[in-house]
Amino acid sequence: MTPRLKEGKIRHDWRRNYSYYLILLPVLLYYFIFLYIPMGGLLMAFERFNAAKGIFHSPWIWFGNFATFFKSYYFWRLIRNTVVLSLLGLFFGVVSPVGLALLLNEVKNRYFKKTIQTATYIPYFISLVVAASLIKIFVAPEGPIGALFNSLFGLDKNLLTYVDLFRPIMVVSDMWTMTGYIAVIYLAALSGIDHEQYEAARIDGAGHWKQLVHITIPGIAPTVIVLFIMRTGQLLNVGYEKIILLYSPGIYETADVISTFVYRKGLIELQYGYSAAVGLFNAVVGLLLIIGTNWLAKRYSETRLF
Amino acid sequence: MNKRFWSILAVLALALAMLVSCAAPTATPTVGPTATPTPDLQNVTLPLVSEMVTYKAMMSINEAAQDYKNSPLWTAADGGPGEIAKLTNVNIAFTSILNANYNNEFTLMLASKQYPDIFGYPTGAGNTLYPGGLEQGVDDEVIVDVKPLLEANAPLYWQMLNKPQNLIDAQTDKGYIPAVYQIKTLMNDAYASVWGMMIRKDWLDADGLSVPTTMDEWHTVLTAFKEKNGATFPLLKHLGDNPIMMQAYGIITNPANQFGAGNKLFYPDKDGKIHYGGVEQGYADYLKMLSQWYAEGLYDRDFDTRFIYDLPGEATLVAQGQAGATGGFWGWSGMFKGFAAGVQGFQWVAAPAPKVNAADPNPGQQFDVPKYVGDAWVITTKAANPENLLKLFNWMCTDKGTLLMNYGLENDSYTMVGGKPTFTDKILKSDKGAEPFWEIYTGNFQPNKLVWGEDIMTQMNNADDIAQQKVYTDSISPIIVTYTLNAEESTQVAGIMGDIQTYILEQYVKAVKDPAIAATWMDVQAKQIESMGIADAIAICQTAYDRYTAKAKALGLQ
Repeated sequence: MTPRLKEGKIRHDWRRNYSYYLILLPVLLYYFIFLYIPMGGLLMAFERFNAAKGIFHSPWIWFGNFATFFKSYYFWRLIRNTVVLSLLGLFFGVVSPVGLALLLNEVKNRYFKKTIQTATYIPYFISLVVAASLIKIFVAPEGPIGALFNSLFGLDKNLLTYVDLFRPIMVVSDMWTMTGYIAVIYLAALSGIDHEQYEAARIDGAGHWKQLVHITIPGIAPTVIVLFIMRTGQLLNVGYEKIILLYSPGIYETADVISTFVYRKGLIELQYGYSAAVGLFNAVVGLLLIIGTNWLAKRYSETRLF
Repeated sequence: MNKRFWSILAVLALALAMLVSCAAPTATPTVGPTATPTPDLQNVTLPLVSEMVTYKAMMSINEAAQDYKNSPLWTAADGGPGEIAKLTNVNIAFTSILNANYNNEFTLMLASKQYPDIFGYPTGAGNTLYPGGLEQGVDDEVIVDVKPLLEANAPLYWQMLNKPQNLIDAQTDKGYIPAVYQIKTLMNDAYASVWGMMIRKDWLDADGLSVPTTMDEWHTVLTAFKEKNGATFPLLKHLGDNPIMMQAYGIITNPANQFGAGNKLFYPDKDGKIHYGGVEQGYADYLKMLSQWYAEGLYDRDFDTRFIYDLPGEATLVAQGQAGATGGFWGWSGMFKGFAAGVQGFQWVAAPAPKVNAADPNPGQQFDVPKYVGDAWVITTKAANPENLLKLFNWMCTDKGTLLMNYGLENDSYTMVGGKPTFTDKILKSDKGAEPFWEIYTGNFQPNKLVWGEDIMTQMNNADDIAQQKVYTDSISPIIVTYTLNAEESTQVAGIMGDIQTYILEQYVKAVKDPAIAATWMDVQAKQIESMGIADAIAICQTAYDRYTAKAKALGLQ
């Protein structure tokens, strides 16, 4: 008897909510057409892909491409660079906007607050290519940052040619372009905290610091955690466009990451199968990380993404 | 339209009549030395087909302006069929794609199986663009082997093509002719070197030095540029990354070429043995020299971040007096002169290919595009009646067709002066430069291509520039690297070279910056490259090269 009951339930549900399902339909179609069908292309990762033969007729080599990647001379360096850059991005990508939001939250002068907020927000609207060109100009030997750095350390080179400076340049420039934008999300979370809590704390004798630790931070913690989980999924997906715009072979030592490697193998050397395999590896690790972080977040706090 | 058609026909007929009536020997070069057609082959009835047929084409272009839609020969001002289609009734509808995007668009096209009727295949694209090369394309039944069709449908073109010097590059190992190739007429019939060193002559004069020829002289000159002329970058990184200085040390192809594969990385010596520069003593010597120059502030301080085709950037540094020399394509020297137009006494000249010692023979230089056959148009199996297209290309080789395709429209792009087609100022004085505008105007596809022949070369360039270019050609000895790898070989070599490419790109930069690394290159880097399996890649390329020499022998070329 159960199946019939279930069928009746579905029909009932459809009759009641069909308009909502219809609204959902375009979204589902979007996901299906643009995000699920292209996944068929992942088959390339297991083939010696030949565009003329197509995805379904290229020779099948199972995990050959993956084996090549794992055995590659550069495998560990790529993993290391990717993870280091991502962790740096993760850390500063959370700390700096949260810090900015907390500071702005304390500012009482409305005009000053708005001015700072706008000034830090604007760099986000600079297109990546332009931002990268600006960075290149700034760190050139004649550029303001390059000239300052070189005169301090008695050098005369472009800062982008130093292996050790690539990571700091990436982190600082990310902070420059992104901090103001992400801080807006935290400011919104901050404004959602009930003011009565602060009043109650003040009556209990809590100072600024205590209020921060016991009210403000717990108040925005859910937002921080959700954004953090979403970023961990991107851990191996560092902003490769920016790296491609800024790096050069001389600093591959720290700058070459999995996605730039995929770009070079796939789009410059036209090894699509190999490139797809490396990309798939990247995506699988990303998925595992996001599940892992979500599990940890679920376990140690009440906030989770799914 | 009908009226216009007949009037154009009349103009062309008149032009032909003039050509014939002024049948002085000077009139013949317009057709070029490769074509000595018999009269009946010239006699092509127009239109070629009774009703207009349209074929779809996908082409790569160098710049947006070069879109075939901007050529009056291919597209009329109203966007309809251009002069060629009006005359022949064979119309070609183009999708023009910038060079930089062509690889990707091409691959998408292949993967989607949405082939046009014709696509452009740039010379030197070898086996990387169509996986396994055009021969594989014929076997995949994507590409039409035109060889069996040529004699019947394009007899004039076939007569021009059917020579060993063309077939060595136009005919595949299996004997296919997978495309309609442009056949080039060359000035002095020479494999002209188009790249080499360029230098500020006025600085040399001021310093009391002459144009350098050996590495020691270059060192003296660059030092003078730095100390006396105040250059920050006496020698800029070579535009295009060609191995101009490397070749003096016997390294013919640049191993640290980021766009390199197959014949762009491996070269034969005079005994036909294949080498890879990265493990040769010559390369270590070259790096030693360059790292010394770098340490002394003579070589481009920013070489590792400079984009290899940053022509405007380099031209600006030269115009500002920050740089005094670079290497690159001679055709680009106009840009340097243009940027420095306001600089008093500025002189920018070609320097001969440098040697290590004055007594050395001319260094070998790589020629990776075929001598006589150029860019190709490939007919796909999607094209209905490919014979029509062959007839069209054949007609383009007749005297009339050749004139139209190479000189354009009479009284617009050229006029007849003493029976000789002479370009008007529309071409010669174009803001874009004569040759770039010529490419836009004509659409840059001529089965019988005269643009590098003596007549057009001397019309488009002044004698000085031509003499400058001769400096390059006279100071090298050509080494032909147009051999190609087959599909299996390409995959294997690409597999081996994956890590080696990354390794050498990185190590080369380090060696130039650090003389200690350059000094121990043979013991450290060369050994590392060997351990990454370079010998296997060399062996594969050797097989491919041996196949090429066997083919040349069979054609009676060697």
